[in-house]
Amino acid sequence: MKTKKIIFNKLIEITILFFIILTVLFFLFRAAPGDPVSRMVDPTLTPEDIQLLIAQMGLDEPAWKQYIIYIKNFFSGNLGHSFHYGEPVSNIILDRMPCTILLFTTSTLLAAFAGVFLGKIAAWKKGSAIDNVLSIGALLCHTLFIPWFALLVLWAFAYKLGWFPLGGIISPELWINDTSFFIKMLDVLHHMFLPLLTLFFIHLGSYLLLMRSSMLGVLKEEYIITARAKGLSDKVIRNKHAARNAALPVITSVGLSLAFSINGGALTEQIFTWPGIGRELIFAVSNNDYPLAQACFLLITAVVLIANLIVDLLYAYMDPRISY
Amino acid sequence: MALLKVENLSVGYKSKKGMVNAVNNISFSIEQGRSLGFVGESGCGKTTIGMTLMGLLPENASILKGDIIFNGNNLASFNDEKWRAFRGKEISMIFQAAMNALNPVIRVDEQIAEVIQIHNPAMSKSDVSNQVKKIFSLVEIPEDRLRDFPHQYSGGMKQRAIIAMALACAPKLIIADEPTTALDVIVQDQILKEIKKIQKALNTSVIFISHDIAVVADVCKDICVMYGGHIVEKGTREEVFKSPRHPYTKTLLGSYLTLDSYEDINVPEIREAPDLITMTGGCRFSANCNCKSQKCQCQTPEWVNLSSTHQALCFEELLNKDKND
Amino acid sequence: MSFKKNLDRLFKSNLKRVLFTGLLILILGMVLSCQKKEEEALLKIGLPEEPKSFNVWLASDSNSRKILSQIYQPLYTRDPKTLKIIPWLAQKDPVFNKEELSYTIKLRPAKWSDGTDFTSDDVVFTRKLFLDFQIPGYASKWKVIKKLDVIDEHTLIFYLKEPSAIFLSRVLTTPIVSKKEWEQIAANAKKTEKPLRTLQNHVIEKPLGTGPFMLAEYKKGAYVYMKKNPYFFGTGKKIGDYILGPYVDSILFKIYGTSDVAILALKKGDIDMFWWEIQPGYIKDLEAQPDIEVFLNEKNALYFLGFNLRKPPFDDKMLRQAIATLINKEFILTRILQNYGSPMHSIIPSGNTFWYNPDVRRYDVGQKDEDRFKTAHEMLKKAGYTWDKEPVISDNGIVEGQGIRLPDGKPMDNFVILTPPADYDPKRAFAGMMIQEWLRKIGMPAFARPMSFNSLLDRVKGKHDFDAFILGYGKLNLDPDYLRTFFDSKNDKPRGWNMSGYNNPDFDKIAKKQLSIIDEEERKKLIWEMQEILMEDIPYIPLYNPHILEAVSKKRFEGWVEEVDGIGNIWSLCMVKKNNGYSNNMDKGK
Repeated sequence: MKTKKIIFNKLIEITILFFIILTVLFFLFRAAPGDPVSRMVDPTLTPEDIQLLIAQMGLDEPAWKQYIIYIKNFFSGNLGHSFHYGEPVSNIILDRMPCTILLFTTSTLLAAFAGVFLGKIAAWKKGSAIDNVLSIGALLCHTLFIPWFALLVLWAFAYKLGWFPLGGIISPELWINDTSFFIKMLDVLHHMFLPLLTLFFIHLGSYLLLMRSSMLGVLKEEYIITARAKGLSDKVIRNKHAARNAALPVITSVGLSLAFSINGGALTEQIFTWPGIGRELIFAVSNNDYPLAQACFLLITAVVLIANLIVDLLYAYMDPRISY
Repeated sequence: MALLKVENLSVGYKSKKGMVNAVNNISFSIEQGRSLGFVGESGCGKTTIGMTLMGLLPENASILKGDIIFNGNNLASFNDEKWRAFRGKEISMIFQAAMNALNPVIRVDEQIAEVIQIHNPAMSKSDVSNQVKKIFSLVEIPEDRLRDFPHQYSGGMKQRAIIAMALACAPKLIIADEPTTALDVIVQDQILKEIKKIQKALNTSVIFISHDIAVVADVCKDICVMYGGHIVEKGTREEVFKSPRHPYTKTLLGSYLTLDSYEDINVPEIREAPDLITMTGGCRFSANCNCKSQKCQCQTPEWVNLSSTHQALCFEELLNKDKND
Repeated sequence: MSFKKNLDRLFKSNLKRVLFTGLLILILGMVLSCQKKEEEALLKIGLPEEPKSFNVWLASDSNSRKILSQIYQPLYTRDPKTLKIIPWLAQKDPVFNKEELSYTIKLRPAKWSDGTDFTSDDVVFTRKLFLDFQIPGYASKWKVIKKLDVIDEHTLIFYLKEPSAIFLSRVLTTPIVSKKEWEQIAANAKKTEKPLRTLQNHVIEKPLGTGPFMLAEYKKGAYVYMKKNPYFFGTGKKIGDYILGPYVDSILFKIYGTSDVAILALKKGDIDMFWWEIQPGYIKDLEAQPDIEVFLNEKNALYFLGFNLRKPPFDDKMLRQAIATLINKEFILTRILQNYGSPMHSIIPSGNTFWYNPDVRRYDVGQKDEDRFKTAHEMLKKAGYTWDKEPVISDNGIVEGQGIRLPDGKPMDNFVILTPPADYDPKRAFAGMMIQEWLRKIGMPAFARPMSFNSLLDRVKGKHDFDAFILGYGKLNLDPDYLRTFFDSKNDKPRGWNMSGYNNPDFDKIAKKQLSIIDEEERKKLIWEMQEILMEDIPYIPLYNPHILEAVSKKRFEGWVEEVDGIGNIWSLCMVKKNNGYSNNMDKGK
């Protein structure tokens, strides 16, 4: 009962924060130089044409008026139409979001699990050959230059070996013909593998290192000696008594990196032509597509806030010392 | 036959400067149902003894020589697997509660149940939980606090839980390493009573390690005084505390303030602990001893029998000289 | 508790499961890729970005236009070889009546891709749509039409308000849309508060056109699939020099987020063509590939250094001329464009041979630094410029000048040359740096500053708050009327195209006049005169015109049609056909 109230309070807090960010974003975009039509360098457009376009987009009104309209629309569930797509922004986001979630959640979680697993082993066998290999490997992953690595992966596995497609999310050749749903699903998985692999390795390094250092700290704790004094096996001590405590910082990190993967993953999305939200965001910002850019940022805001809430709750669940 | 017999045990730590003998050539034994106390200042090697008996020496430490005969087994030759089955079951340890000895993210009952489970794999879940309840009632923790997390406990309760953990498999020997150090005096008293009660009830042997003479004197029938890795005096409680013979024991007792003797406070001068690496021969206490002779620095002192139970590691003439004073 | 146990278990078994799943996907993937079978002639084209919209009134990005240009067709178009205007949806050249200022146009018996007839009504409707909604880019052109009469289903007469030189090339080349498709949408949009926006925001899923292809399927984020339009009016007909197809059954547009990957796809044979410019750096590798053909074509582009003529120091023609002399265009071309391009000496690219005036004033005095600097130095001195420390130019080199002063004795303020950022266009950014160095050598306090494209346009075009800038038009129209657009003093206003603030009444007069001259030879004289004036006054210094490099795979298809601006055009898609001989060889090879 108490937890419910606390979650409720947190939600209110988040909502307020959300609207503050919404407002800041709104005016920030309007203050940025240029406008959505400034990029149209088509000499056939007369200044009158441009004025008309701007008026039609509602950008001729003073900013505060635009803001009121935006807020009004926002509450009726209308995020506006993209200036360039002409579609409701929500449609675009709903199209792109699942792709991003699918790829980034999977890769982050896989990397986190693998990082926790390997970091645990590395810390447990500190100073051994396994530890050295894992630590150096993790450092390499951590310092990888993403575009270079992504291209290398594509070059090797898609171009040279031909095992995987050169980016994209589906094979058009398969989809334009009637193909069963099962095959289509496999096709998506097949396309997902390389970006997944890339992101997995990119994330793995930091999770492994984080887990390793956290685990080393935990292993120095008294309760580990207690556990050993009980006659528990190494495995139980490592997994039950040490790893759970040590994994706490990794959980925070996963929560945040999930949130930031939306924009941070744009580069990976670009190279693998993954139709995610990151590419949209970059397009929207560089083309002054305010409604789309705002919606993308709001989405990130929402995800960050909610991820934080979930991390908090999960933390409370994993670490009984924390309570709200 | 003694439950535990330690003979000529030496334990060393590898360090950058060389091998450090933290425990040097010590021997002692303990009978079933008895309690043995180790006193001495920090760094004297008493905790190392505890860890050695539990097989929990850190990686850079090892038994250099000696035998540890427990119930007919030589623990000094145990491998990891044997230790694992042994620890917690035959010998268990009571840690200091203040030092995070309980895992903060696991419920208390679970932490105790797992000891029982690991040593009695055949036991059913309900039997285990009954056993846990029984032990909790023994250490007087209310049953409704069983499912709590350690942070929800007070310091005293935590200590009781730790005691319960040590008792879980009814071990023959319990090693209590500073179990009451961080507790306030009232709680400390309760805990000590608890330990005594349980010891009596279960007829367990207890090795009690503390720097606090009063605590050791309260619980233990037999006392070992340690200095610089050596046992320097051993005997019954009365013998050691009422008529200390070794100069170090005397200093140690002298440094202990009691309210009824505050008038003749005899604060010993601050001394440096002996350098355990460079010391080669001679008595380790000689640098700080106030009744030393020429001999002390070059000759190793030997055990002097003072009674059938009372012994001191010193030169006989010095002990006697002191007595004459 | 069970959650925690599961967690523990996951820690343990995760790696194995991941490896197993990975292996499974791998095997299935290999099976899948073997399954691909191609019976029909499916042309695969790589695009650098997804098309944003299939609403022809909204789509302003090049990728949407690539798709839409296969669907919506104009009445007249340009012959790729002669670059002359030829009939397309119209049956023949218009009949011009000089007295009435009217053009009679006969339409082809064409059909929309749904099988309905294309008629005069559609043309009338399109005009109405332009004017009703003031559709940007179109309405302003169609305003010249006073009246549009329908004679019969396939005959129309356009009456003009005044003679217009660009009626054929700019007005009749706009795409015609179907009344059936748009009538209802337009009627609904009109009732709304922002009619144009509503029209533009209408989502068109299956655009209805008369072109060689029609949109069969669009999978967002993945591909665009076009099928041959069975009703295409051009099929089997000879238009220009070509007997039109299309000879392929369908086109699949695939998207590649980076050129690197698209080029890998081209090399691997995943796509037959990459419809995007290829950077010179890739060419060597591509030319070494036996299956790849690289096309190099002229562009109708203009890259230039523009000045703000509204304020000192660049309000002085002599200074601009001196700077034009200082700039070594050949050097920029070799160093930055790696010789894939040509230097420009007039505002009209030399490739536009009919309108290009080769006899305008030239400022290049050779490649040698000393020659250029000496000439510029003298020009400046003559114009009254002084230095606190004059530059010394001898055969042994140049000693930098310092503290240049304007003819009125005031020191020249620091000025900024705005360029797009290097990640947007490295060529322009680096050209800016080079020019900065040359100007500094003669003592001018020049600072090249890359700036985000939006900000740059905002300052140059919107606020007129700048000194100098480097910009470019990647694709100019072949009709040179843009000279008027860029330099007519009427267009010197915020967001107007006369970004420099060039104001020359003589020029304005000629610019206005040429617009009404229908006789091409006569108009050419005026266009040439305009170029002469511009190169004398030099508000823009034309720098270079890059070549367009494109690559296709020879494995399956051949017959690409090259024109100005490359092979990415409707002609190519109408002419490309399966390369049987080549693929047979390949089969034997296997």
